[in-house]
Amino acid sequence: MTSVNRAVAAVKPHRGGRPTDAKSQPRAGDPSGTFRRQRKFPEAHIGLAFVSPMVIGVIVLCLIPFISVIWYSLHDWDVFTGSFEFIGLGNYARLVNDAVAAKSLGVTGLFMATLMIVNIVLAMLLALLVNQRLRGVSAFRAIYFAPVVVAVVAWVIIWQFLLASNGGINGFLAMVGVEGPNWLRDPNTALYAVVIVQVFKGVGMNMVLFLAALQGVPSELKEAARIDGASNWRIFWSVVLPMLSPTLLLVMILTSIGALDVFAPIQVLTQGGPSNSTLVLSYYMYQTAFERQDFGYGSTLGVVLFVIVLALTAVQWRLRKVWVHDEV
Amino acid sequence: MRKIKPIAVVLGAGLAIALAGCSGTSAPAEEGPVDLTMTIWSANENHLALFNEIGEAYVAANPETVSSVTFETLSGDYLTALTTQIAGGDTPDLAWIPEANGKQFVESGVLYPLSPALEAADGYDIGDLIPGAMERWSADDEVFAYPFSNSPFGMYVNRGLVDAAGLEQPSALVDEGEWTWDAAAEIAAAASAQAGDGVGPIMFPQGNRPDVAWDNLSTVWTGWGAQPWSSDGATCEFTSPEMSDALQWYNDAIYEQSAFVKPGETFDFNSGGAVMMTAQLSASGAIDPAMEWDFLPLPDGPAGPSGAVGQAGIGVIAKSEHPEAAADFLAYFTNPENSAKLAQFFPPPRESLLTLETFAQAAPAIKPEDVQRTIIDVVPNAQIKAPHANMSSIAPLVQTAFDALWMPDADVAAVTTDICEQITPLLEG
Repeated sequence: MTSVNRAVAAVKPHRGGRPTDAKSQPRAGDPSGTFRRQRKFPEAHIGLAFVSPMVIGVIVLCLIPFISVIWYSLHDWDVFTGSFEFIGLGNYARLVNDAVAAKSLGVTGLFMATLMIVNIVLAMLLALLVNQRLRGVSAFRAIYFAPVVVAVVAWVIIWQFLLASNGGINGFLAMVGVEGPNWLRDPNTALYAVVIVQVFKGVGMNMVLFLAALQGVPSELKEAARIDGASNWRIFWSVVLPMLSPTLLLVMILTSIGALDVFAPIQVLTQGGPSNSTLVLSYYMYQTAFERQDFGYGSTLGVVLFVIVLALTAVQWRLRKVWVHDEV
Repeated sequence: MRKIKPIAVVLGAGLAIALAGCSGTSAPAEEGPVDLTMTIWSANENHLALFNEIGEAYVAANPETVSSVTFETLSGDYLTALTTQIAGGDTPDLAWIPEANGKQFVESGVLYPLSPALEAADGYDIGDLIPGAMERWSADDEVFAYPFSNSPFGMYVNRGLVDAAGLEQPSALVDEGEWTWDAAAEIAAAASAQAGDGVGPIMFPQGNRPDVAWDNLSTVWTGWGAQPWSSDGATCEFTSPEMSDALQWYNDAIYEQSAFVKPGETFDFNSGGAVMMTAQLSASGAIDPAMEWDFLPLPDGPAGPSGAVGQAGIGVIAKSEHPEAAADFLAYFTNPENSAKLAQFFPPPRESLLTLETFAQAAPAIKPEDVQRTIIDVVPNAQIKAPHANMSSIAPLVQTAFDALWMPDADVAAVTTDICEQITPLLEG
């Protein structure tokens, strides 16, 4: 070991983050380190006690079901006859030739992309709007946020009436001389109708996140840019947006995961139809497992959905180094 | 390694619990009186009150064997909830079974044989049960479920809306033998147009709309002599000329005549928001008492009457911990005395109870002549919606393929060909 390496080793924390300092050395008169171990173990136990409810909850409610789903995906499980036959990767081979699954993947991608773009753009615009110092702006913030706290099924049922071909939206359009489409029964409009329902349900939360980030942007930076002659757009693009990038990353991850596990709006509004135009992967999984009682193949779709969510989140997380301004 | 071990043990134990759900093994039967659970899809308070009354009477008469009977309404998609309970090992003792899946339940061994319990029950009189009604629920001379509801579909007619349009009442057409689907469509379209916005023509109840539950179209296609597959279930018949004609007529009636509510539209017959409604006896309880209405047989099609019966069965789940006690309760629940009580909501499959007297007491809101021609005359000969042993896999495919029918100028031939291409492997399998 060179002298430089020895110096680095002296200040470098050990694996686990505890620095090699005087406190971690055995006390004088305690060469065996017994005193240190006596203190360490009770602390560790207390720590474990604090985290154990959460850990047990995650193991019981997440990890075990997840491992079970992987196990089920390797089986042909007939609920009616009670048979549970190991078929290896048979369900995964079936997935490769499943045209409906391929369509469902496309629908899921389109749904997620549309939802993310509309939701994030709208949330950003609303946040910029309610960030103004205007009289009554707090009321608008509350109004925009209100749908977030409404029960999702109640929210969707209200929209079901509004989107009916003889419902409120088409009634309004008729008043201005426009014949509205059959929103939920037309394969060309059904998916976008569901996107709109989802956007209005969740945009308030993203708006609040952006608003909090906006209020954290130092006014000195904007002022400096303004003195330099930057336009409002230039200030937003070059100063504000980079400062919002950590929040933007968070919102993108949350919105994309939310889009991938959408269920209630599809179940209530379209049941995956018409002609599978709203058959997102999460609903196809439900339909396969619970409506067709094909639990093995349904579990396979669940595993695929998990892998997609994981991969997407990993990609977004890796990309943070590229475009989140304070990441190195 | 020492740190990993406890986690591995917890995971292993949890996985074992999860996998135990697949095995479906039941715990050994307990000593003493047992608690019975029956899953149902109705949340109607009147239904539940009657069921509880029968259940309490049974417990009072059999305190040594049964301590309680609970009727559990499964919310959402009933079949999904029921099969999930069975798969998860949380098996009810008894369950209502939708007719569409009756054959699947019977043939897959999910149900416990009932004949011994029914034959042993005092005064049960198995010979009184209508053979045609029991057919779907039996196999190899063994009864596996009892069709407690044997309810013909009929046509509810809002007399006030028909009068307001100055049209002849459908009940008069029934008397004259002129009650056809064409006549019904004409009257419904004209009366709806006369009433203006907010009043629909012919509708199905929300959950029975053909665009969400395709097999309810059997109320129409039976009048054309069509059926979805051959009686042995092996051959697709959606492409038959009879079926094509029926579906083409229905599509024209929706989009050219405006005689049926369009998919995506919402109306409410019960409060006077539609001219007619295709539904069963149990729907009568929700109609506004101030409204004047008839409950008529389904109109005739080109091939004759459109008698379609919707059934619901009760069976004992074979994995129940108390199948014998459950079967004994089922025999009590469906004996002649209790069937007469249940008749106010669910027409029984008993010859002796298909009388005006039974329904006069059970469903007094329905006129005696309507009971006679819509229920009593129809039940013995009506077609039950087509069953199939592979219904769970077939039904979603047909539902999706039917989506292409719900637009003006739909290509019926393409829709039916698509259906047959998709379901033929499942029919044969």
